[in-house]
Amino acid sequence: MKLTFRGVRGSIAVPGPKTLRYGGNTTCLEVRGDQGELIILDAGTGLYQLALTLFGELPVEAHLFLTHTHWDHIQGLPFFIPSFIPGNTVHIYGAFDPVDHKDIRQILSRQFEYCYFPVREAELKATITYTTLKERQVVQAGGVTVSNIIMNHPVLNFGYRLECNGRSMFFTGDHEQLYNIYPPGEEDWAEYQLYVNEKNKSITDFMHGVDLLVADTSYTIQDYPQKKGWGHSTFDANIDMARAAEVKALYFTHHEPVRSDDDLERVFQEALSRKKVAQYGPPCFLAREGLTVDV
Amino acid sequence: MARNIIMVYSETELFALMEEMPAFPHSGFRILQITNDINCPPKELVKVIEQDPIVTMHLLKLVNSEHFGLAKKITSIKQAVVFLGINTMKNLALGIAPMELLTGAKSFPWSLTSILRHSLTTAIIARKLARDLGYTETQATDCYVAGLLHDFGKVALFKLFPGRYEALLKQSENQGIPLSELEVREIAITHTAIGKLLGQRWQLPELLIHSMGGHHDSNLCATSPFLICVYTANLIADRMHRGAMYKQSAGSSLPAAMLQCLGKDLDALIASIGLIADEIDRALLLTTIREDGSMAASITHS
Repeated sequence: MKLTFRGVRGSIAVPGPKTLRYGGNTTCLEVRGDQGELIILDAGTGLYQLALTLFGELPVEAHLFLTHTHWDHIQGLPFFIPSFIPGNTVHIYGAFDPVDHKDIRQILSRQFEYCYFPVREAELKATITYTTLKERQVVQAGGVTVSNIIMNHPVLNFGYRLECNGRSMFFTGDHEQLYNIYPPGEEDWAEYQLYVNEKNKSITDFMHGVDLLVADTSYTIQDYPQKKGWGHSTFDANIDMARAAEVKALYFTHHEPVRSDDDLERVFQEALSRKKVAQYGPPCFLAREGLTVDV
Repeated sequence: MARNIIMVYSETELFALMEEMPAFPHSGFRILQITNDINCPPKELVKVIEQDPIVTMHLLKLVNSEHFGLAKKITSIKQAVVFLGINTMKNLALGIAPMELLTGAKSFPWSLTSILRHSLTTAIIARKLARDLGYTETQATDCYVAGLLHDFGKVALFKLFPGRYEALLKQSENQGIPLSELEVREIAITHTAIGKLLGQRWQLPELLIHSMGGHHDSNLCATSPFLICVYTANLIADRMHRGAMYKQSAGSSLPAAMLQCLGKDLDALIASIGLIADEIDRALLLTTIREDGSMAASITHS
């Protein structure tokens, strides 16, 4: 497989001189299977950059897996040009909305309503299919096997594991390390901690041994106390998770919109040094828009 | 049994009515307060949900539904929070809170409050019995939830037969006629039968289905230590309600298999419940609704 980062920013697109090196577009990952299968993970504004590269390979068959449907992960979808061209096929997969009982098509079709966008969903010329996934449902996209697990975010969010010819990667989508809602010493702490440990283990088991982990790393440990419960992780927590899951390489993404390129590199280096990554691993990298890596 | 009730309601109507069942007013009120405060600690929300059989039921029903296809059933609210995340739970709970509470609660049937108080009492006692038997905290919580939900069938019948079911409960209490006898005679279905029906339909964990459907069946309950806790707790809570709290001998109303499992007779068990009387009183205080429909002051400051 080959992975290309098309959008690595969290929350909101931030183009400008301070984000030139790492990029300002929101989350979108392009993964190519060994037979050229096109797998897209999330449809943030980076999806538009990907769309511009696809004209040379029409008709396109794309498998788009949404980790969740917060704005920064779907904002590029109405601008995914292949959707407007007859002959293309776009398979969209995502979680259902347990609060309003909507499937993935119902959730996304609102983006194409009159007041939000000039083209109605029904007018898209490509063949669009929708699959509302259950947890751990396995999808075969050509030679790539995609499975999912529910992570921890203020909405149902799937982390996806992709496998192809013995190689594998995992993308967390948006994820905050689980924490105990009871302070130590309170009666309910121990029972809750049991469930937290169980859930953490199920996540690390699910991603165990992948060749490449891409993880939501919005915060530093200094940022985190003010942002606890917002659904995003820290450099340190992700390094711990990667070690527990024995992954081979870790890419940090979902960079904070306020973080300039210089700041991002600084906090990255601080985390590597604090966690003694050179000594204990795994190899860690900052995700950068346009960067392609072999999985 | 299901056929009888379907004579009054179609199956679709029956389950649709169950879907729109709102939370009890006291917890609905707290949920609205909590969800309006972005900084409210998640544990406060969990505490409120854990004390409301209707919200608990809605949430367990959802997490155990086919949408998630879990290999292992989720049996408690804390597990559900870890699984779904606190914000999803918060929004789900908000959807269940009856919105009319914002403009002042309407009068709430006395009997429904009474069912709630009995359910909470049973839950707390069932958890204590499980703890005393040396079960893990997770297992004790399972017993708590099974106790909280054991009479969910009554809540359902209240929704299906408003007014009529309240009259049945009062008749049973005042005239000492067994409730199940009246239920069969008057509405052709018992609260345990509909409890079982709903539990199966919603794919709840087996313990909950047995608890809702078989909490009066001593043979069934004797097959599981957890069900023994629920069965016994129900018996004790019932005696407490009838004014026999901590005093009256219960005689030999526990089957031998249960006595052997619990290691104590009912008198000794009732005496031990005195140790958690404060806990029960505190929980019941939260269910207090004033005559004007507002909540007890203690709730708003808890």
